[in-house]
Amino acid sequence: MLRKARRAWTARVALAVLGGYGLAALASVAGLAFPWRAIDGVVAGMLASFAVATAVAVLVFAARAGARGGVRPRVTWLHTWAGLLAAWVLYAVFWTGSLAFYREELTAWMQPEAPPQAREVDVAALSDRIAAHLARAAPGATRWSIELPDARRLTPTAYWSGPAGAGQQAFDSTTAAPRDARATAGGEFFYRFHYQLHHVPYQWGRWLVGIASLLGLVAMVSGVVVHKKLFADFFTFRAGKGRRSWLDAHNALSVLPLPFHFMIVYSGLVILGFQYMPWGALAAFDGAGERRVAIAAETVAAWPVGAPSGQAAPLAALAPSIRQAQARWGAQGIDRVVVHHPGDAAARVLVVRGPAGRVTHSREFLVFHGGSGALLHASAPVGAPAAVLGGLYALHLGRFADPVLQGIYFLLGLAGTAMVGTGLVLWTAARGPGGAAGGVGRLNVAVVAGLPLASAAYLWANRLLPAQLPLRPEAEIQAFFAAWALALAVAGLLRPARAWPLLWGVGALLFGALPLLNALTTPRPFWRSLSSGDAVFVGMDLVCAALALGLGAMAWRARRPRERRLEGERGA
Amino acid sequence: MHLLLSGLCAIGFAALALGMARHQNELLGRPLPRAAGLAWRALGALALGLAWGLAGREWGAALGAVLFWAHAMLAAGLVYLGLMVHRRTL
Repeated sequence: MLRKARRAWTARVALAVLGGYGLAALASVAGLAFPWRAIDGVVAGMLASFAVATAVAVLVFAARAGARGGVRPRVTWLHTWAGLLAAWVLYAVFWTGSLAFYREELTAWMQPEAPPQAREVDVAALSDRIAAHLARAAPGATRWSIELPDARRLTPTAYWSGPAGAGQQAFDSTTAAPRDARATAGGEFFYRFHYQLHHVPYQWGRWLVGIASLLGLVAMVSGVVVHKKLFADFFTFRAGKGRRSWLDAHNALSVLPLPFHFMIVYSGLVILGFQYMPWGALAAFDGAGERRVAIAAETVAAWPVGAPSGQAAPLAALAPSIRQAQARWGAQGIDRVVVHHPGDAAARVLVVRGPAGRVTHSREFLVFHGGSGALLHASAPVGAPAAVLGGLYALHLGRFADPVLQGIYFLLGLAGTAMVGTGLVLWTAARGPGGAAGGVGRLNVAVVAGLPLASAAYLWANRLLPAQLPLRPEAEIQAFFAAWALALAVAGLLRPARAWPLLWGVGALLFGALPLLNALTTPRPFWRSLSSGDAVFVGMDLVCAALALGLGAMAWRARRPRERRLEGERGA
Repeated sequence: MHLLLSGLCAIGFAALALGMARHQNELLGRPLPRAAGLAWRALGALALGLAWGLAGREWGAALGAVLFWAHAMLAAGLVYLGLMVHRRTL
C-alpha cells in the first residue's frame, strides 16, 4: 500500500517535470503556427512557455486522478518541495539582485578616490572627448561602444574590440579623463552573481538560476492555490506564537508584494528565455548564425555594418548625431553610441536609446554615416511579442526608476529575500528540533544569515585591501566567498540555536561598522558627504546602518529560541 | 507626488482593513454593521483608484501604473506593520 502511494508520488513528480518542460517546449514552438513573422512566433512561444510549464506542474498535483484525499495537501506538498529545492539559490539571487538595483552606486562607493559624478552632463560633447581618447588609446580597434551617463548611470564607460584585442575604460563624466581609482569588482559582482552565480561556468550558473526561478514560480502559484484565505488573512499577524508567527510573516512577505515577486521571477526567466527554451528558435531558423542574427535583430540594437573599405577617412563629430537623437528621445534618453570601423570610409555610428522615461527595453536606435554624420536609418518598431519582452525586461531592471521608485524596488527585493528565508525557516520548524539541527537547518543558517555577512565582508575587503594589489577585484570576491565559507563552517560546528544569533550578530556588526571604516580609510566620512551633498556616500552609510539594525534585530530575536518557543506555546 | 500617492494608498489599504471583521474587532473591539463595513471597503477601493488615476496623469499610463503598484505594495506593508504595532501595544 505504502509502495503504491510512493509510486503515485513519483509518477506525479516525473509527470510534472517532464510534462511541464515538454509541453512548455511544445508551446515555444506553437507560436510559429500563427500567421505572423517567424520571429514574432519565436518570441511569443518563449514568453508563453514558462507560464505553460508552471501551470502544468501545478495542475499535475491538483489533479484528482489516481489519488485519495483533497487537492490542498498535494499542492501544499508541491509548494513545500519546489520551494525548498529552489530556496537556497533563490535566496542568494533575491539578495544579490536587490543589491544590484544600486550597482552603479555601489561601484561609485567602492572607488572613493574618484570624485562624485554629476548626474546631468552634456553627453553629446562628452562622447566626442571620449572618442578622441579612444582614437589615441585603442588604434586599430574596429568597434567602440561608449556607454553614456544618464539619470541612473553615473560613470561613462567605453568598450573596444579589434584584431589587437578588447579593452574597457571608465571615464570621469565631467572632465572626460580616464577614471583613476582602485580596481574593484564593484556592484557589478552582485549584479552578475544574481543571474549566473560565481565559481561555476557561467552557462551552468544561468541554468541553475533558471531552474530555481521556475521552481520559485511553481512555488508561488501553488502557494496562492493552498493559501486558504488570501484576502481574509491579508493583514494577519499572530506575534509571539512560534511557528504561527513565522507562517504569518511568510504569508505577509509573500502576499503583500505578490505582484512584484511574480513580475521579477517571470521576467527574470524570459530575459534568459532563449537559453532555457531554444526550441521555437531552433524550429524557425537554420543554423546558429541565422538564429542569432534573427533574435538579435528583434531584441538588441544590431545593424549589419559590413566590412571596412580599407580607405582611411576621418570620423565626423559624434555630437550632432547625438543631438538629433536627443531631439527625439529627450536629453537623458541616450544609452550608448556605437562606432563601427572608426577611421574607415565605411564607418557607421549607432546611437541607441536608453531607459529614461519609458517602461520598455525594446531596441530603438539611429544609424549615421561615420564620415558625413548623415542619418542613414531609424530602427523600425519591434513586433508585439518583442514589445512585451522589452516591457518585462525594463520592469525587471527598473532602470526607468527615479530615486524613490529605486528605493521601493530595493525594499520589495528585500521582502522577496525575506519571503524565501522565512519559507526555509518554516520548513525546518515544521520538522521539530531534529529538523532545525539537521543538515537542512544548518545549511539554512549558513545561507540565510551567512550571505548578508559575506556581502558586508566583501565591502570591508574593498576598503582594507591595498589599493595597488594585483587582481584586486578577484581578491574582493574571494573575501566574499571566504566569509561565506566561514559562516558555513560555523553553522556546521555550532548548534543552530547558537549559530543563528552569532552569524546575524556578526553581520550586523560588519554593516554597522562600515560607515566608521569608511570614515577612517577615506577622506569621505558621513559628515563631510552630508555637507557636500554627496548622495551616494550618504545613502550608503544610512543603508549600512539600517541593515545593521535589521540584522541586529534578527540576532536579538534568535538569541533564545527554546524559551521563546515555550512562551509561544503558552500564548497559544 | 510620491508622498500623495503613498498617503492615498495607505488610506486605501487602511480603509480596506477596516472593512474586514477581524480588524474591526481588533481596532474597535466590536464588529461594525454590514453597511459600514461595505462603506469602508468602497472608500478603500476609491482611494486606491484615485491613486492610480493620479499616477497615470502625472507619469503616463505605463510608468504611472508601475509607480501605483510600487506604492500600493509598500503601503500594504506599512498598514500591515501598523496593525502589528497596534496589536503589540494593546
